[in-house]
Amino acid sequence: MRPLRKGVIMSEDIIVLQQLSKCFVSEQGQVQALQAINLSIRKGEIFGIIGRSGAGKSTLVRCINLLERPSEGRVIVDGQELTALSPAQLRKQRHGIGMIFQGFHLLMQKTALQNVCFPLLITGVPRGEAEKRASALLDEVGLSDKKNAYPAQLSGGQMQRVAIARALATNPKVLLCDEATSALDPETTQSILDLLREINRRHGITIVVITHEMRVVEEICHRVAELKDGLLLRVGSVEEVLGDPSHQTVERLTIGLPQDEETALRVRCYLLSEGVLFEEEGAAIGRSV
Amino acid sequence: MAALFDPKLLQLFLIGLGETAAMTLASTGISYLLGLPLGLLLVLTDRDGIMPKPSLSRALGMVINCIRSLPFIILLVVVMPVTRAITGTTVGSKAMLVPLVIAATPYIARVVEGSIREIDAGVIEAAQAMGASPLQIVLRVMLPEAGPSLLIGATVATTTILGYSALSGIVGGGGLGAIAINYGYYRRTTDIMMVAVVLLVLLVQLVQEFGGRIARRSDRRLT
Ligand SMILES: Nc1ncnc2c1ncn2[C@@H]1O[C@H](COP(=O)(O)OP(=O)(O)O)[C@@H](O)[C@H]1O
Ligand SMILES: [Mg+2]
Repeated sequence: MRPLRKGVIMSEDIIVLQQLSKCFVSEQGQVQALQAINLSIRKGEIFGIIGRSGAGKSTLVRCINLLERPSEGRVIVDGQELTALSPAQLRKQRHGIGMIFQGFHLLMQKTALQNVCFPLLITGVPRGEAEKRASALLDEVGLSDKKNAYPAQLSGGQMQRVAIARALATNPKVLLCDEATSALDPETTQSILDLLREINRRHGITIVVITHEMRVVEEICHRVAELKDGLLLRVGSVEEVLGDPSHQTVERLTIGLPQDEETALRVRCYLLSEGVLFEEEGAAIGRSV
Repeated sequence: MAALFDPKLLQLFLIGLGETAAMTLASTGISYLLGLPLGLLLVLTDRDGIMPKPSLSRALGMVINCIRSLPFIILLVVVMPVTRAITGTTVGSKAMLVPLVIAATPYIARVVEGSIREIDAGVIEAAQAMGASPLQIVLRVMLPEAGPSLLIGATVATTTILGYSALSGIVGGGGLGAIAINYGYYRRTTDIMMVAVVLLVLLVQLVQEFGGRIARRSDRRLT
């Protein structure tokens, strides 16, 4: 615990990245994907990481559970320095870090229920108990009637719900989402975002959301960081970062949008930055522009 | 043609059929016991594998390529000392198991490798993110996810080994291949050879059809 402003006690940081760098070396040469990133994510928040394609977002989130081993720096999750652990210790810590992906990555030869059982079975939970918990989780994500369906029989949104249930099975403290809604249509995206917000509220789980879509950040994130060419440009509240008048992400994110939507987005960002609007009002004005 | 229904000939074909089936199944089975782990090892120790040991992977791949580049008929002769050392003889279907297994194991390792590599890397990564160990990934992700593909591979491997086993008739192996060569080539009784060939063709069709059907039926990606 450390005091932030007067009267405000900020809860402790659950994810701490210190001087994190990642350099990919291949035959074609070197790519500095991340450069000296320092970032703290607070317990219980929904934290967004935004930036255009190739900025290093995926690399950053994959460094949090060490799917990607950083070239330099330390990764501390829930008080444990992951970068200092043995492979077996790391696997144990990973049970406490859930992850979902743009491509869902479900076991295609297993039913929804079996998919959700998987993380439980590998941690030694007996099958009967695992199935009971998996079943309850599928109820929670709204798939009560699809428990015995195979992924090939599910829509994208349904597959992502299975993946979310699977990620939650071991009661993780952190949920990492790498472009989790980028393969989904707008309505499905909305429903998945609602589900994530609900999970954050109900379980107090810290969620890290990687996205190139501004609306995802606007919709659910408490704080956001912007990444550009492997550098952390800024970190702050959604209003601070997205509302920054000099903000270049706005420029990039508006490329390709229809004229009216672009105007709406700019107006919304400006008003948010001036503190004139709350999010809902901004959205309302955006529609009327 | 009427001579073909001679009970003695019928017995000859039945025994030949039995020997071919036994030789094929036994050598395929033993070869899978060796080739399946080797195929997995090729994938696991690959540079982008979950237990990267590129030098081991490369060395293993080279040994496999060497054995595979030997024509089977040459291999049959080359390994005769080994065959004799293990089985005490170099003729008969039991002795043929040795060259068959030596030839089929690297082939199966490659077939298995191909099936395992087909699995979406993301699925394996998701399992790693959940804290699965390499052994758990092999047993609970790779083998079940590659199941239908492994079955198709096994079907192809079985028919290939069936062909090898027939070829082994040339150097004293048993079964339908031996019948076809002894009667058709050495004694010029073409009709007996034809029957043996037809039986071989039927066996291949049977294995292919049966294996393919099981593989398709077990694949949950098809709805
Ligand atoms: N395994 C890898 N090998 C080499 N370069 C990589 C690898 N993964 C990512 N990169 C490079 O690192 C940079 C950041 O990639 P990534 O983190 O995937 O960006 P984002 O998720 O923001 O689109 C890109 O230039 C990409 O080409
Ligand atoms: Mg990415």
